[in-house]
Amino acid sequence: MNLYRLWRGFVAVRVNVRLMGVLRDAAGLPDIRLEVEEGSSLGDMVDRLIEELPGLEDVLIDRVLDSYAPNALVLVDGVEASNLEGSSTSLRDGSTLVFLPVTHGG
Amino acid sequence: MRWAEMTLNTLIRSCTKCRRAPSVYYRPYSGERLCAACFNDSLFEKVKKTVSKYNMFEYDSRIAVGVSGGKDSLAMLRLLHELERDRPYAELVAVCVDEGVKGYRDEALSLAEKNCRKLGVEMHTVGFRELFGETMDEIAARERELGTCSYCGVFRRRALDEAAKSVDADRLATGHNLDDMAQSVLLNVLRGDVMRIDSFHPGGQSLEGFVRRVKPLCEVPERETTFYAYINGLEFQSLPCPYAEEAMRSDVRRFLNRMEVKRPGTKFIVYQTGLKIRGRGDGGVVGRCRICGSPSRGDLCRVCELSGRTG
Repeated sequence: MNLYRLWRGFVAVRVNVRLMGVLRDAAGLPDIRLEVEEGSSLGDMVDRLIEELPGLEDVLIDRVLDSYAPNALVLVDGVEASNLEGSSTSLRDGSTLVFLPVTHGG
Repeated sequence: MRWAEMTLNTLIRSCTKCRRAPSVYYRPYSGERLCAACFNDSLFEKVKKTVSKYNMFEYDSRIAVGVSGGKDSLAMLRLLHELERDRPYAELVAVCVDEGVKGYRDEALSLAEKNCRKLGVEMHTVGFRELFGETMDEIAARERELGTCSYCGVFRRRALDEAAKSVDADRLATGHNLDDMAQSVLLNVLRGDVMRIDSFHPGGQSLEGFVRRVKPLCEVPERETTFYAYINGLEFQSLPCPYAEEAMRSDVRRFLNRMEVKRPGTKFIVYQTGLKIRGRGDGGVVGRCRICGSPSRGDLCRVCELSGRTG
């Protein structure tokens, strides 16, 4: 695998992930830095995030819609993901992702 | 510049309103892409129109704003503060309810206080213990027939009314958003509670013995109040109530959220349907509770019924 990546010129993209509200509680930490292959999408990053923090799966993924939960706002460098390409949005090195659940206290 | 960077930058389209700044938010139900400034303006305009459409306030209203420390009520407080700036005779007072949910409400109240201080709005708090003799934690721990939210909803409503009266307010503004309104319509249909649909009115009703309740955010989706609170740096409570999952409302919320993704605009249609089918009656209030004297549909009001007060 490493040789294949080397052959393909694998470049890692580092992304800062910020979890808020109930997601922060489910993950047990507020921030995490993840590395994915260049060209990875937001959807790939969500998969990677769940791989790293399995506690997030139940609160972040809606299995009926087969996407991240509709009651969470996902911001890519301050831009709401559906204003980009949703889960297909490409990520760049140093990007900051914010996962903000819509259902809060009150 | 790497291709991924180029892709991201070219994907950020211009704001459909000002056509200058890059957009940060997409509204699937209208197709608009808005920059942060236009998003703020659009929410302000929406609230202004709603207030005017339902004649929510008088020029000199003393408005009690129900503030819980959550993003909806804090967004509403900020928007009403901006709106009332042009009305020198109107006044805002924040009213908060301490239900007595340890670790949850204490955090919310301190956030509410912080936000009120920032805006220079006076804040007044009432508690379940002083009004009803027990806290929500005690109610949750005792033997009971109904879910915790049924008690909390009834008591909270009364507590907000009492708080509004105590500050001499003639209006009580609550932070119910479009999602809450659509959920209420569907919940009442599922429960067959025709009486409640009859009294469904975001502009409230003037009933003797109650402060008129208004819902200025009734046409703003919850996603938008959250985004508004986030981009304006409002510090709001981030955790849901520990008792919230007991409610049937959670099932309805999940259903409506999924429908909204599949068919944008569903929540607005459900809300509009509620407005169409509601009557223009008094919501069934005909008499007064024989224990506490509050306006009531029956012999006993819900607060006395749930408190076990039988006289």
